[in-house]
Amino acid sequence: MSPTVRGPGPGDPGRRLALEIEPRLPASRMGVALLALAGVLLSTYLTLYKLGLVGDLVCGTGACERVQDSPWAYFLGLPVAAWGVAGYLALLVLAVVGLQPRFARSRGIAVLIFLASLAGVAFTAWLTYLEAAVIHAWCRWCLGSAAIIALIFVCSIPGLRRAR
Amino acid sequence: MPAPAPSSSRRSPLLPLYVVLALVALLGAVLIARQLSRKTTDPKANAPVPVNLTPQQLNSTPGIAQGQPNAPVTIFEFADFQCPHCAQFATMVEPVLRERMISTGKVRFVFYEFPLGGAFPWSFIAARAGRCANEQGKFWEFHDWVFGKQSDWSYEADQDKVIEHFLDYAQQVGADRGKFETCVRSSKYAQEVSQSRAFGELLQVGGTPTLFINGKRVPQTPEAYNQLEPLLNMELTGGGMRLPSQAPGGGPAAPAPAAPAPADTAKR
Repeated sequence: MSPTVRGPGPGDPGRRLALEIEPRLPASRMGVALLALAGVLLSTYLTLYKLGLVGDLVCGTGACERVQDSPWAYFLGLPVAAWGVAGYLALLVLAVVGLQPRFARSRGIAVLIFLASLAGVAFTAWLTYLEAAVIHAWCRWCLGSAAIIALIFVCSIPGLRRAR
Repeated sequence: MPAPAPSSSRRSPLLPLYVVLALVALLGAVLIARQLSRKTTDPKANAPVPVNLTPQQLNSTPGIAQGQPNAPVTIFEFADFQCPHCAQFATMVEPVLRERMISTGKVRFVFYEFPLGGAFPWSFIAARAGRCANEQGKFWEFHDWVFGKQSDWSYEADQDKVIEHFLDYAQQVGADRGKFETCVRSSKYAQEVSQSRAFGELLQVGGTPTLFINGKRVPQTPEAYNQLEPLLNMELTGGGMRLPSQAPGGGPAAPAPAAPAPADTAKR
């Protein structure tokens, strides 16, 4: 009887060891990186508008200009969009660093991404409230950013569970 | 001979992600660069294009004018009091334009309301309020206040509060508050404002502010006076484009926009 050659199964101690040495890339963190990059691009566009470097916003309704030209488009003396660039850039760096094998299970990185995205969600919720209740106009780009930060927040949660 | 480390010869598992991130960043950069290139400061790229205006069309809708009626250059502005870009034009460009061109008799400036509505819920009542101030000969002073204080009233949720702001501005510019209030709270000038907007639509005004210099549309409204001045100088020195002698359909083209209906215009 010839010996049967089998590959390592899920219960194989060798495979378990291999996974532990080189854990699979967490898809949620890759999602954070991609979403944060989209956020960087979106908020860069809005920042350039605030700096007067692009003409009209591609918006179609005039509502984006109404929101972006309102007094609430500034926070601590800087355009809100510029804060967005800084925030998304920080999340992008954290996500890329957190994807490196030595940090893939780092609790510190996971907590930082979670807290940064939580702060972003809270800030965006305030801005969305202002759009609805004070400015009475919806900026599509701002809503896009709100969706991005909400998704980043959701993607940050599995990282917390996985972290050591 | 030592065996090579297995992991060093393998491709980084992060490489596909880096490639995707780079592609997304590149795509985004290209899209943003296209937006940047759309904004040009070259006066030739922003040169007015001819629009055929018949005298009947010109006289059908009275605007509110300032400057000499026989000035060699006439500017039509279609604007919305609630539009931020219009406020920028009114506060950044118009004061210099008045000082250098209108007060020297070179330019006549005619304001047409083009209330956008939609995201600008108070644009129509603001336009009517402007007409109410014009009734008392205070249009341009009121215009400056309304645009200058746009962020104070534009975000009010209640129409009565907006009207209160307008009443204060009217009083500040020396208009009779009571008369002004009666006018604003009525539907007076709704017809004129609607007509002004319809005139803009006839001229295919899509957004505000839109300028016509001697009957020719300026594709991109200048955001600074130094962008507008070359266009005006082209007209003053005879270098501007001439309108065709015949409008489509056989109607005569306007040689230069004349002063619309003097009875309803205000001079500064």
